[in-house]
Amino acid sequence: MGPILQVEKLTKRFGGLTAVAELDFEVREGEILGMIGPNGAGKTTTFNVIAGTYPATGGEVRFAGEPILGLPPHRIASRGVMRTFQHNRPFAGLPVIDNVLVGAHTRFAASLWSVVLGSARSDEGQRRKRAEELVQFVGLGELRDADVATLSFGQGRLLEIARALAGEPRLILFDEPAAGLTPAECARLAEIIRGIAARGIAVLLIEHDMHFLLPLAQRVVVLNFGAKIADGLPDEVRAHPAVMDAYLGSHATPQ
Amino acid sequence: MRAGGFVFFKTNHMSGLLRWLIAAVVLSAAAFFMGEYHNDVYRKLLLWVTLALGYNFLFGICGQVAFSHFAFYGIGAYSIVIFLFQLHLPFPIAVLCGIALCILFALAVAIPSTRLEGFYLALATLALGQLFIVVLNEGGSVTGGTGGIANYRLPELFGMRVRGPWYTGVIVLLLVFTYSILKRLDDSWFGRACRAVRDNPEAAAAMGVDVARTKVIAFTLTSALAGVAGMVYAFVDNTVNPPIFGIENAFLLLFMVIVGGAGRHAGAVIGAVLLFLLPFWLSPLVGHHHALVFGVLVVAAILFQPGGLIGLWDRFSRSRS
Amino acid sequence: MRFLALLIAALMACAAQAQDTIKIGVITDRVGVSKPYSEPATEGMVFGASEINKKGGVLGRKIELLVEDDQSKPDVSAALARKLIDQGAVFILSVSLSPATQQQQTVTMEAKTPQMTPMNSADYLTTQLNNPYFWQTGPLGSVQIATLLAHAKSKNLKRVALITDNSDLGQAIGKAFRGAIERAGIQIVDEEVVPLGTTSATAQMQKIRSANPDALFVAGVVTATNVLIFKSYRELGLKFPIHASYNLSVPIYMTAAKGLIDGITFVDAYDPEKAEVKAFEAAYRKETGKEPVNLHGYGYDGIMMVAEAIRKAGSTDKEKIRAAMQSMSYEGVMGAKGMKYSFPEGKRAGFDPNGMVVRVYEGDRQGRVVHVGQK
Repeated sequence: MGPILQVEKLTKRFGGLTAVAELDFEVREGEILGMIGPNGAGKTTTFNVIAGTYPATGGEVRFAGEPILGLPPHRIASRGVMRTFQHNRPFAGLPVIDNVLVGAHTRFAASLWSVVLGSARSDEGQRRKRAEELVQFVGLGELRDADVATLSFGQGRLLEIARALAGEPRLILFDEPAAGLTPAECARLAEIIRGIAARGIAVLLIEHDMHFLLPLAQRVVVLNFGAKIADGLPDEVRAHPAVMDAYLGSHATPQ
Repeated sequence: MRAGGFVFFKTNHMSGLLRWLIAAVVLSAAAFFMGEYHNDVYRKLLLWVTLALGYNFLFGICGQVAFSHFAFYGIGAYSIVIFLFQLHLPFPIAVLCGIALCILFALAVAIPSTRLEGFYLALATLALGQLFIVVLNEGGSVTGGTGGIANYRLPELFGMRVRGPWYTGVIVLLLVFTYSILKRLDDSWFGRACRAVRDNPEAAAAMGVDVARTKVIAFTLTSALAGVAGMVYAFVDNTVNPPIFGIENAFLLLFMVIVGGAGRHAGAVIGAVLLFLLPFWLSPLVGHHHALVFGVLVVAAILFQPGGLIGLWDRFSRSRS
Repeated sequence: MRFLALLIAALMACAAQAQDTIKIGVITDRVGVSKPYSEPATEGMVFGASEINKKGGVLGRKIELLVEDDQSKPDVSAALARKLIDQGAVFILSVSLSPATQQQQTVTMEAKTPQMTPMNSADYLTTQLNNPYFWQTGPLGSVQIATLLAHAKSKNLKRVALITDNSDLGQAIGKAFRGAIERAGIQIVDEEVVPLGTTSATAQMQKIRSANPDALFVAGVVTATNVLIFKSYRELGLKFPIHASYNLSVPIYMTAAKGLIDGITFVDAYDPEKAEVKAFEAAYRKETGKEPVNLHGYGYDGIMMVAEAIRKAGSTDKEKIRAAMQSMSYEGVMGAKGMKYSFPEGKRAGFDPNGMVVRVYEGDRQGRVVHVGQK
């Protein structure tokens, strides 16, 4: 499988602080790439630069061969890169199913004119059906018409995923999806992420929690102080001395 | 052309169209059973409802705090009068020019201000609203100054002049037309995008919603609809003058949407009906204290019932079922 | 059974009496921007109607006022005009905002119902619409300025300063003042604006002081800013005379600007030395126990003229009332001594252009007349 996302010499500086330095990595089609590193290693910055939230200072990001650096977030989304937020960001005034339908925003074919003229109903119907399937897929079927304020934190995370999937992405960016979840929810989440990859969608998973990430990822990139210090298969990374040092040294033992 | 292009004419949607038609006929027919006074109040009420529906889309659904709605209502009203009776343009051209003018002004306000935070839209539209009144007052013979323009009548169309309760029918058509457009937009990807932008612009952008574009379209569209309503208003009393289009009414419109329940079409209708008719009902009962009752109601709605009256109704019907 | 018969008789008597009244509609403003003007004028009308009714009414019938509050909203105002006409009003008196009066005209013109504003001063009310059922007896804005300037010219002013506020009306009157002053050949040496919501007008008054004018014209209409102007004038110990707009004739200054207004001249339509005014004030005091002001006089004159027109018409037929009104010549409370309202040659603005006066504040009281008319 070829690379869907190529990151080359990506650099991001905030004033004098270099958050990401000359970072190279790629995500291949249908693979789950994990990115780990201690707090402040530059994971989230990398994530936000790829998603278009922050402009990059230098380097190149190509999605499906096309450069996407400098595009605004909504253009990157419409190319097929969807994301979840670390702190759930639902649309509070919309029920679950409509939240998911917002995720499908870029996939609606009907123009504003055809909406006004009332001829866009089949488009709407199709998308709604698809959104219902996605709500089922993440396990929120019972709650499809619920007010999002009534969802638990874990359910909110599942909604984030369904919403991102509705955009029919070729790449999904997960920003610490396991943060705040119970072990049971984590297990369910891992299953869903595997299911997504099995559909041929590439996954870039930024995660703090090794126990969650290592069994799930096919390859892992390790960041520290904004630079890549290791990459490879989970087992290789686990055994890498620099990783042990930088990331795991004090508080955890790789298993 | 998409295959869906013809669904309008399929039977199941025919029934939808039929519903609109029946609603329009019933609302218009009511005018024929009223005296002159009630008919006049009814006409003005229908216009307020139309404006509230449009403003609800902008404020309640898209989350944009703007105070220019009445300025656009005024641009529509003044432009149709000026185009028809001073420039002597043919009726359809005058209507199109009026709409074009509203769209132009709306874009000129929305494009720069939506790039900034919401606060600046409020400021820019407040300024537009004030500026519009100054222009009307200082407009010399074009706008008629503080006295506005009178002494004109709706031109004959196809040899007929629509008047009295028949003109109420025109306003009903305006209302149904406005509502059908807003309802269709609200039920579509566009309406959801507007709500998403209102609730969380950053997340909306991540979902592929062009936040600035969505705001500009919602602002321009609702402003143009207000302009069309203004054109219809111009022939209700056959006079246009500055106080109608001032900031006070823009605030009243905001209160209507809040009291009724922002983000809900039914809320906008309830708010407009209640707040427009309240002084008529209360004035004979409590005299000039009706202003006080009005203020208390608005404050109470904002403090204790942020979902508005429609939210109260929801709770009531939920507790019964 | 007897009781029932009595009740029916009583009800019928009531109905007969109700039918017997002559209904006059009043559109006023109880909550909006023109409330401070509309309320006293309406009180004047109510007093006038009770006086007429005490003397047996008009054509042997009592006058019944149907008072409606339009909140100074022109669209509501037009609807209320329809309501009053539906309820059988044969005449409508309008004392709300000028644009509201204008929007009512679109209704009275269509319904051929006589309407008059005894107070509005907008010049366009009788010129914009050719409504033969409408009259205006309030002094026109242009007459107010001309009268004030006629007085100024008699003082031989050469160089004056102009100050106003930034409200819509204040700006409009300021503009009208500027035009009239320039046309009179008087030089404007300084022009200042006091913005609404400021706490001091001292900076503006200092600039005016350094321009050293013969007099200062105050065109502002917002009480709070005008009070600031007078306060700075006193604090800076300025000596040049102040000539103020019609706004200073509103009685609120006697309390709001206590101790600041002695010697200020202002234009008014009310002469306290006039016999009619003295009689009106005495009667009003006796009836209501309250002190009347010039604004009451407008409403009083309005209802009196309407009653007179109906009397002359000899019927409540609207067409006959219209004709009677148009040929009316009436001397009332308002205006300089001897002034009569009249509508010659089809004119419908009836206040005599030479009927305004310039008065001067004596202490905190609105004092004597120092100039009459435009000569």
